[in-house]
Amino acid sequence: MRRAALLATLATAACGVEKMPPIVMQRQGAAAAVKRVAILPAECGTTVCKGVDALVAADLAFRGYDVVDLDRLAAIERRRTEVQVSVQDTSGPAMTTTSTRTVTVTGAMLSDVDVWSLRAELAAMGVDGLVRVRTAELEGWPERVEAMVRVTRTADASLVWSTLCEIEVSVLDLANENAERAVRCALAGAAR
Amino acid sequence: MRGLAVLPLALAGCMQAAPHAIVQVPPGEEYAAGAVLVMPTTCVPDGVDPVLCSPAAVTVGQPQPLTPWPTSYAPWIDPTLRLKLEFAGYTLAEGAAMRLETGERTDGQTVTDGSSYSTTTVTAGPTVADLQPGDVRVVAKSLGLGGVVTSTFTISPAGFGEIRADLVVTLWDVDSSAARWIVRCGERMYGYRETPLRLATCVGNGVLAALAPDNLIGEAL
Repeated sequence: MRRAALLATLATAACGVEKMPPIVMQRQGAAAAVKRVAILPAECGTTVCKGVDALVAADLAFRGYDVVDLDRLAAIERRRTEVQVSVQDTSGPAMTTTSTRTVTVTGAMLSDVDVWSLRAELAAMGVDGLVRVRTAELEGWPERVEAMVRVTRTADASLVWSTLCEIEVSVLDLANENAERAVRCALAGAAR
Repeated sequence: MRGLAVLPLALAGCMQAAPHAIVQVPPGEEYAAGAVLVMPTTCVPDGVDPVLCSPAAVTVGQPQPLTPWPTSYAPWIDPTLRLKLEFAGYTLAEGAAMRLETGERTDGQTVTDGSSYSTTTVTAGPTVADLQPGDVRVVAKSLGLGGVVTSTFTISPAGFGEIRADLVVTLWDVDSSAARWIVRCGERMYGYRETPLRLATCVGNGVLAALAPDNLIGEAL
């Protein structure tokens, strides 16, 4: 009876094992600040990567940075075609009308342009800082996820600031949740 | 009762030891930071079936994992490696994200009696990662990038039917084409997902230990 109670206690304790606290590191670069930044599109084009990019963009905007969204700025004048089709059916006892409107907008956004044009466009817009957001799973036991936000100067690629957070995660957690938590942790640790 | 104590120890003994990094870094700060071009990890089958270079292919016919495995090791190796390289002080331009030609984007929206759906298509075009090494250096130079980082994941026989994997990451100087530093980690293939992730962490920590030891979390090498 006593052994069973002991085992039950151990099992309950094991379920409640606390995770390690997050490890946060920050680095400050040169003193000169940047004002207008663009978040560089990463090779990883998944929804998770785009989601954490948007998270960081919102946070930086709140801190006073002027964030340029390369996905929302047209690189050239875009062509818009709108087609409206209305069909009236009078064959039945009552007249019915069906309407379809199709809008097509064609043309490159800044995130679609070649690397040399992008560089020229960023300079023309006065973008003086580039932001990179990264998340990575670390193999080991317990599993960990690391996220980093790094701001560099456009002119010479020198560091403005960077922040990194490593968190312990459960194997049952979803990858996108882990990435988001790690990025939020890194942002919380970033210098104000 | 003693058996219970021995069992966890025996199980712990079965765990594969963490790989160690072999770091070749010349003295001096000249190549310890700056903007560099980074290429996706490539896999080289050295005396083994080339199918082993595609995680998705090696699991054909087996129960599929919750997240489908990729067709190359790059999606597992590159995120960790790049994160560590950037925290070591490098600013990375990602070759596979750098277009050589402007893509054509078409955004469409159709509204029919109140219901609507929208689509977006962007034409795929060649990127810097598709170029030959000589052309990559030309592009890097034109963008003012001082180096090119390459990453090679080599799978080779390890005897007794086993295989081993080695990850070698090199920073090449754009002007001279000489290797400025090389970091290598290798181990017996513990798992098709686990080993690439462990080796990426090992190489990344090797770079951090050599170039920015203050930024290292946990064990150095």
